Amino acid sequence: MKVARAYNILTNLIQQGFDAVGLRYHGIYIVLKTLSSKETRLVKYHASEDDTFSMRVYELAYATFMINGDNFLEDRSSNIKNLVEVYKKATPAFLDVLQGALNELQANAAEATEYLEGYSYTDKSRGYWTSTKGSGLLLESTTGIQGTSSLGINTTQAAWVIRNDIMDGEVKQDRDFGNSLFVASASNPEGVKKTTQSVKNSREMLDTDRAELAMYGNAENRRRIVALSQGKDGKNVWTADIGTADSMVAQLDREMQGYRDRHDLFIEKHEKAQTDKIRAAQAEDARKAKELRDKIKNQEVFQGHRAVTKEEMDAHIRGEIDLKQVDVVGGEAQGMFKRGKRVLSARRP
Amino acid sequence: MDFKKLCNEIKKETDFRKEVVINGISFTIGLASAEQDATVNSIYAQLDENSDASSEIFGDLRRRQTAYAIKAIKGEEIPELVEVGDKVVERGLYVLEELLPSLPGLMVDALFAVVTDLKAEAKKKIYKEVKFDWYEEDKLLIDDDEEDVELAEKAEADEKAKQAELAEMEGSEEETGVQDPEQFE
Repeated sequence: MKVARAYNILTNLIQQGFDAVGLRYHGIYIVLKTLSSKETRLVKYHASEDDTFSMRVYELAYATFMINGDNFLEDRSSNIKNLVEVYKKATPAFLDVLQGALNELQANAAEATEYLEGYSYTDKSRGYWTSTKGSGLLLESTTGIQGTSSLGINTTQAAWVIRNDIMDGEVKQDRDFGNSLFVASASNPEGVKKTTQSVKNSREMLDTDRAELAMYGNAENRRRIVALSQGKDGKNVWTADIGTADSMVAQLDREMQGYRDRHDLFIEKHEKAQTDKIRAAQAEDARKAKELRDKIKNQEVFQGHRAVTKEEMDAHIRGEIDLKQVDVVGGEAQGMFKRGKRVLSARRP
Repeated sequence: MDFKKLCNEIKKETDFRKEVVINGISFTIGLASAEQDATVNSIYAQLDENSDASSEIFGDLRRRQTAYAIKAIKGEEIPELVEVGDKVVERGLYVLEELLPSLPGLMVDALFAVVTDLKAEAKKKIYKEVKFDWYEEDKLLIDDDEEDVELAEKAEADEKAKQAELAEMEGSEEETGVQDPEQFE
């Protein structure tokens, strides 16, 4: 259900005590309303649970608001009896249609109640609360509909009253806290300044959060719509917003599903570039090492040279000879290498 | 408020009838009321799939449904309450106990088929012709998807504003060269 529709239903449930649907069939126009929890309880007293037909008929009788413009909420007890008789004599298929509409109405009301938190923060709701303070919600002078005082308060109204009462408590608490700070500021102005700033920041965060909830209806819907605006994988945003608990949960959800925002993609690109660079350097090192190995293998470094003996090195240390002056025996070494190759070739099968 | 009038009005608007002639006898078939229908269907509670009596119960159910649906025979309307000897019984029971036993089984089956068709036709017609009015304020009559798009657009606009802010910050970071991965290399 979408926010606008839910808020409309909630307004009806709170301000007139019920939501309604009209059914037009040829010359008959029936307006059905939602059942309050008190009416549902009353239905149970009229018929045993085994008698599903009677339960159904009584439910419809209690749910009937108007037929062809006549209000059935007035003189309720006698009207209910008569309505039960009317519905008992109706065609089963017609009763099925009425029952289907009532079920849908009830289901919509239940679903709309999930948006009550956001609705409570709207100006419309706070305004209505200020004018009524939650008392006399079903009075005919409040609803403007005759007979509403016999309906009994519904669960949405009860929950709405509790929510608004809590918010009023917060306002009072803030005011008292402000007064306490004012008194304390005489003895510890610096401390009070810090505390005031901290409280102001938390209050601003709370207000922002509530304004968002009023826009989206509830936290779940906010998460859904924000995710929609960011694209399924969140790639439309630079960094996912994690300013609130909900957005943090949304981001964790995305991460767990492997989705990445632009910041993640940036980091990934950077990491890839670094890895490629290291790999290229490693490949270059490997190439150079191979070149050296090939060079050694071909004996290029030994051509025309021989190793210095221990005795020559000792003499060099003693200063008796200069190593630069030592003759090479390249020709002999070459000859030994060639002989060795011949021997090895002869051994091959 | 005249409930009798209201009752008759609803009855009139939801009354479905069909004329059928079987073996030269004309029957007017209508629909049972919701209460009668519930009484007839309560027989289902006696059904036991494993019992041999199930077929008998189904047979009885068919006969009862047919009995309650017969409104007139040979054009003569049967009143809601009928006097039988010193008893007064309702029309459905009168037809069930006094008339149907005298009719051949095949004729009862044919009548039952008509009743079933009529019920289906009535249901189809009522469901098709009932119009619903969901009371909503005009300004709130927004298509569900449209609202999603609107909210998503708003969230997107917020996000763009955030990005613009970020871009400004990036502009100041440009001097430090951290805005593109290439510059790390």
